[in-house]
Amino acid sequence: MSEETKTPPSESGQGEKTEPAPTAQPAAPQSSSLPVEPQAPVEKTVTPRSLKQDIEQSAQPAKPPDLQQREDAPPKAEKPAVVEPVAKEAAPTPAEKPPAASAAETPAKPAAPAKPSAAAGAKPPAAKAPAGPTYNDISGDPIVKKLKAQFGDAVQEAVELLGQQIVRVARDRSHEVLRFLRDDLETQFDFLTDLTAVHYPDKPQAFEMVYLLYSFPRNVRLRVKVGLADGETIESVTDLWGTANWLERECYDLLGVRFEHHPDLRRILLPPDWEGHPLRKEHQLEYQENDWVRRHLEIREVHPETDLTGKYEMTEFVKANR
Amino acid sequence: MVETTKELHKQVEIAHVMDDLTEMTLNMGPQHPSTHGVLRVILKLDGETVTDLDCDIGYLHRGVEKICENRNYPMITPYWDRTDYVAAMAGTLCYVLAVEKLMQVEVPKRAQYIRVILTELNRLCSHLLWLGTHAIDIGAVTVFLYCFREREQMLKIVENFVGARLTCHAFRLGGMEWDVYPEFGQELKEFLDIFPKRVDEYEALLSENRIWLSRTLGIGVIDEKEAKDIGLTGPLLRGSAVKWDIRKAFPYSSYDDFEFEIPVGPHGDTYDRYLVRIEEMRQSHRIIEQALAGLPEGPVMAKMPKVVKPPVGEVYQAVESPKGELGMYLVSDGSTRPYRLRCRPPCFINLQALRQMSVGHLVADVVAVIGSIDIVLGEVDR
Repeated sequence: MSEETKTPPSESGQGEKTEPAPTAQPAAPQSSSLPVEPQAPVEKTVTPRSLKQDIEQSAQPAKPPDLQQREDAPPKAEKPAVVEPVAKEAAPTPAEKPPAASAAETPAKPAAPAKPSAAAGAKPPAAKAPAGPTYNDISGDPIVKKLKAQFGDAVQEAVELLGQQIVRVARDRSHEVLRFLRDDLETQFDFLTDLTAVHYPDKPQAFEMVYLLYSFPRNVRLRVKVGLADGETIESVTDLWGTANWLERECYDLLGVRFEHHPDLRRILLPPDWEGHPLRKEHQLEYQENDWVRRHLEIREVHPETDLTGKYEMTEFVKANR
Repeated sequence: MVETTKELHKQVEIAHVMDDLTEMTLNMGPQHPSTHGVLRVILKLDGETVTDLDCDIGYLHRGVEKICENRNYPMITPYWDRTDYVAAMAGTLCYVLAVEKLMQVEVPKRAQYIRVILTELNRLCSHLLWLGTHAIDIGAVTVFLYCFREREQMLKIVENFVGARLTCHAFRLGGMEWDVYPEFGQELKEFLDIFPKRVDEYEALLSENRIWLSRTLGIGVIDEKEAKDIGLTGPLLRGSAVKWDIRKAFPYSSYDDFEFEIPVGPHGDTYDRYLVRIEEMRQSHRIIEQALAGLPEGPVMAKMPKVVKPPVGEVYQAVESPKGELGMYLVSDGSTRPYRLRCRPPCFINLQALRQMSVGHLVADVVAVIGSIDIVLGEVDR
């Protein structure tokens, strides 16, 4: 794990040519600690940072193949307009485009640099904002109604996303609810597909247990979520589904969630004397300096000034020949 | 150095120690040819009968899920080639389908068909590798050579297509990087013409072979209820008389366009799982034939944004990998990297059943059962 290099956050999809650009920007969050990125609040869609990256992306020196790719889209008009001084050699291509459009855009360019970016980046975000999946409330669903009648407030939320149903349940009654879902004749979720957890360090309920249930007789999936504060335990479901044994061990191993009444809760993938739980967000990816590594891997001492963060750096040569 | 060596010796000693005159603890693996990788099994034996068993896994753990949280979406794709490296396409397909589903991208029909062809070829590769090694574990060496002959032919086609034999990285977010190469249809057709006869050859060698029957019939039995409880999927579940296949239950990538059967075995033993996989090869052959015949014209890449940023949300997508249900649970926070990407590894969950299947059998049968579970340690450990 330790040799994994931190890469520059260049998000270009397939265009390798345009990749090094963001590193040159001082605002690009290339430096320092890695796990900062995922801690962003979930609701963030167009923070200044992401907008800025859009600008950077759209302000790439437009290369001829690039232009050809997006020939049919209206945003193309802005692209050459923004980078006109750079894309001198690409002059014939903008000339072919409707001259009226580019002329109309040109005055707007110096006044509002954000505007072309919004327009140029319009394809991804604009397509995303309305078309992005929405959480639909499904409390009218017969099964959810039945659950609510049975467990009352313990069923906190029932939503649907992309046709996949999600039910959120209180921690102290999760085991009862899951048992009910397995045994009831109308639900019959007799198969535990997967069990995992997601870590949200900023939330009061830092862990979200996720149970993926499946019903063979009805051919339906259901996702049950349970919120957990850091340090809280949850009742094991090994008595309901035998699958849960190793899955809960893995969850404990990698995320540090403890399960009560688990028959054999010990590490499964990592060595028994390993410290920490790597899938937690605060766990560093780059370099592990711990007891286990010292004892077993016999790593030689490194020079104190060596950079162990493994981050990617532009050499002078690359900068010059870019 | 001395410390470590001492400790190592101590561990081995513990594994080998004779607890009692009647009960013995035996260490098998991690360096053992019949564990198909670095699986360590600690067996408790009474004479030669297994009374208890524990698996020690994690030797290949490299934290793929953690790595994925620190890579942007297009960069992650090749990582899923390297988990189940025997059937690399299934992992990649599952990942790209999950992202495409969250972004609500419609992949062109032609790309979907090519994906089906390549994934099914990969399934054949995986099953042939399984059959060869499983047979060699039990003592039938010839089958291994036969299987690798056909596998080589398929890998050639895959190599001509994507440039790599195992870690293919064939699929991209939104479709395929390349369309098929000109001789693809011809080469595939040549292979498809001979393949059914070759499957008959394997069956002629094994299906009524007396040694094979006595080594597999009634070994590692797991019934329907137990199989569902322990979470088995794929050929293992079908070997226990459950007619269930994700390609039929939740069709993806145009699988509903093709006709094929789900083979099931009634007894849930090693022999039934063998028969199921053999029949699956024939069905895969059928699917490839149909997909090749009906390959639609058109583009192979959907319109994708240059920066892949799935919207905020979460999705679970499963595919039928050669080993079972391979699922990806993807949580996106709207940035360029996944917030959490969880893989449901079929091998990991199927391996859990090893204890249930082998207790009460002989040590030699444990080898047969491990073979019939068909594990790839790269996926077990991730």
